[in-house]
Amino acid sequence: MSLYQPFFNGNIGVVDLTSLSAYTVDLPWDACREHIGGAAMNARLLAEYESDSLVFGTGPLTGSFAPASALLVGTFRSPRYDHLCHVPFMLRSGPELKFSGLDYLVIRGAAKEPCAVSAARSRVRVFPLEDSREKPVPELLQLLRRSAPGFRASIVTGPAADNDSPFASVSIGSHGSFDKVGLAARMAAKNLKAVLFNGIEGLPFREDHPALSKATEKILQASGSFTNKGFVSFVRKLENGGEAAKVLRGRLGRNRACYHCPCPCMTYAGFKKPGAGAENDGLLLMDHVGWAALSSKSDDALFLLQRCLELGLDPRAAGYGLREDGPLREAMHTIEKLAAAGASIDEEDYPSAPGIDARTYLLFGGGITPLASGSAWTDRVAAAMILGLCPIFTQIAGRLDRSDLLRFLSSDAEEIKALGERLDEQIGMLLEGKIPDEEGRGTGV
Amino acid sequence: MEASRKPETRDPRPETLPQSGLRLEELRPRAPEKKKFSDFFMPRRNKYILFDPAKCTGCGTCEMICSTRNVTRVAPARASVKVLTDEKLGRNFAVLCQHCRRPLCLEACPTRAIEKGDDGIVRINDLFCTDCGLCTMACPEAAPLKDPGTGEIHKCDLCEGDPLCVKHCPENALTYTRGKALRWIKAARWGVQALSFLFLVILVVGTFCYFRAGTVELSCPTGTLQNIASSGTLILVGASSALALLILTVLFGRVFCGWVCPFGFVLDLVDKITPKKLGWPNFLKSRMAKYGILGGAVGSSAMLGYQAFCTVCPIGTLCRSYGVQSVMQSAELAIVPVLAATELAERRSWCRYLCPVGATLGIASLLRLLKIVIGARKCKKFSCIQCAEVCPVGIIDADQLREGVSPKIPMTECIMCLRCVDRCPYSAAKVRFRWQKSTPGEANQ
Repeated sequence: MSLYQPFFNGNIGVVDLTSLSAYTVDLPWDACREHIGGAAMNARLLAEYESDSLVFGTGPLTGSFAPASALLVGTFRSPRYDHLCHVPFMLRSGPELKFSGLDYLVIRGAAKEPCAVSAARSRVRVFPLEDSREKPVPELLQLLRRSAPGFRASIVTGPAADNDSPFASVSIGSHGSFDKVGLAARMAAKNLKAVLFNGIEGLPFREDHPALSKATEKILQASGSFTNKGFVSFVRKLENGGEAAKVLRGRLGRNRACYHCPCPCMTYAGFKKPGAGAENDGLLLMDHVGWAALSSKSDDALFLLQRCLELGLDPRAAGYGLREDGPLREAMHTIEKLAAAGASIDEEDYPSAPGIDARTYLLFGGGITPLASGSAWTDRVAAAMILGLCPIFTQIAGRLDRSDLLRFLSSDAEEIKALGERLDEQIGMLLEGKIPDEEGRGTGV
Repeated sequence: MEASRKPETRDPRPETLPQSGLRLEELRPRAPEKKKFSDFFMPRRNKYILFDPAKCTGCGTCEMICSTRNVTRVAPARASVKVLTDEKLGRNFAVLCQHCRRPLCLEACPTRAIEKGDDGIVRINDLFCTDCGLCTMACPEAAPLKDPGTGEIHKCDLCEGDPLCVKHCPENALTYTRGKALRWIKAARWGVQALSFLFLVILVVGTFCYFRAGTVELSCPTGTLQNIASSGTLILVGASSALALLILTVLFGRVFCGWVCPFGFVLDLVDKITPKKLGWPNFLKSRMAKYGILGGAVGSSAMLGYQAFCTVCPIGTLCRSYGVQSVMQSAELAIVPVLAATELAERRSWCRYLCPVGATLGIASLLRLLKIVIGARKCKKFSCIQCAEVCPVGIIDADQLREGVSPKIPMTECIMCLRCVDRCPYSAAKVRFRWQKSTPGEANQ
């Protein structure tokens, strides 16, 4: 097995929003070998294009047999913190980009009118999206289904981004995301409403691939070792998570896992909309940190969370912006104001994740559930962001160490060793916030 | 000048191939259904994949693994198994071939490319398949899938008896099974029926029509009605002795018909040896006929002054004629094979359309405490329909199930044999109290 094939398609989609044109270029294999992939390769591609560009990329293990191989990384220079940030996207977004025949997607320039980008069949296209401004996320998704039917994963922004709210957050479908660092604002500045993926090409792995049985063995092993599954068990591990979990008592439905993940960390929750009679509504709870912040402020937190997701607003910001035990009407008003950029929250009100350097936490999107602390968190999350695995899974999968993960890439011991060394090097470069140049050395930004 | 031409209509199932003159039947004859003698008593149950929506987390491992075999690529969009999720309430729904006993796809295929093997697996023969897609339309599950990449039709072949999706599912939401190993309800019912037959027909004479042991008196309610009509007097002791069966019916529904009736037992045995049914013409299929016969029996008894129907009642005839001391009366038994022959047309034809005893119990069952419910939400297998197939009185609407609607079961017609409860692999058929509103699968939504 080699690092090059069949883990990568060898294609990069490049979109120029200024001219509404798109083309595909070959993946520079040498650079890919040097940077391995994921966030590190994203940073390298960002260095090649304009600094206001936006890069979506996958790691070598994304879409492979490795457990939780669901990651898509969005890399950009955060307008809010003025440094490079790598936002993780899970569910099916990573595999769908890779199965579409592209490994990376570079988005340059800015469109005059709202538009969307779609990746399918090894090609990328950009198309205008009329009447999409300030549309709530569910309505925008309906519009997208009419304009580009058949897409299997999407990354969209809501009205909060259109209104230049600093608390806007990108959403995977209608489920929200871990973006707390302004990726939505960057997309809005480009007039980019959505990125769609339709992965029907796939990767050339066969059923007799040697990694498959190994992967299944590891997955079943890992699955058996997780005694607590679902959103609540993850929320409980957070500081003051016990109270946040209590709010969900009796409201939880089925657990949901990302692509090929043995440990579901998301759960559907059902609720009745205030004033909507017996009609049931529901949503997927994904953002543990956001829920922990929001749930303490109101008994109707699920309803408020749904509104945040509709507006494309970071629920954590809403949580810190709300008054405790205020009436629902007031809470809704505050949320609308935050989404309309008519309210502000002091950044110092945001407590950072305990035991994790604040800058490092923001470097990886500012929303990844802190299940470990200190260097353990940094090390595991950074490795996941480069290899293309879910950073939540790598934190809890104690039995899967780094060499286990690298064995999915290569069966050669020497190559695994070399890969490990390169991975360490790339992690160091990521944490220092450097964009590597063509020779692979980091240059300060 | 071009003459106006009649548009050609294409017969989807050409019976004769145009050039060869061969009939499709000669070219690709359908394999006759092979049945062993033992199949009449214990039908072969082929293995199938059972999906448990409560365990599924929607991780997509089944799709991934299926595609590696299906198209030798990791491309979930092209797999033969699909997991669909209601993104609001999180209900999962697997689309996979059920390898039906009578596959509609097989019937619809114009080139007879779909075959059902002796092992019960429904396969597509690629040599003959023209990818017309009629099978996808015919299948109520839409299990044969058109590959979005190549347009080819793919269908689950159970990986030739070792399904990969089952092997790799991290949550064990898929199981490869023959269904319940021992259907205890079936065993109990046959046991009770055989014992009842032995007791009512062989051991004790005249027990069903009228039985007296000391102060305990039991009598047939229909016979009692005729008795009252013929004698013109209400004998309280006789009427109260008929109440026992009516009370049993109020408590449990028409269990007498399903579990005790000796003629019902005879009909079930005849059904076992005559699995193919000829059917009745539609104008004869009136379930109200039995109520007419009941009225006629009571009316004629009043006019003739004796219990007219009892002389030809197959249940009473069996009870009276087959006793050890009643050899002389065995001529009466001639009515039994005549009426049992109705079983050649439809299962339990006598009970459905003709039996006045069933009609009396049907009226009593209006006050029943129990009912049978089938939750379409829980089963969600539109091609399974096993409950409708096993129902001996044909009161489960298969079309409603195919539409995903919980069928309304007329309990006055149900003989409470519990075959549907016993057979359902998804535990969607249940016995409930009549005041319970929800159907299985609804309560926890």
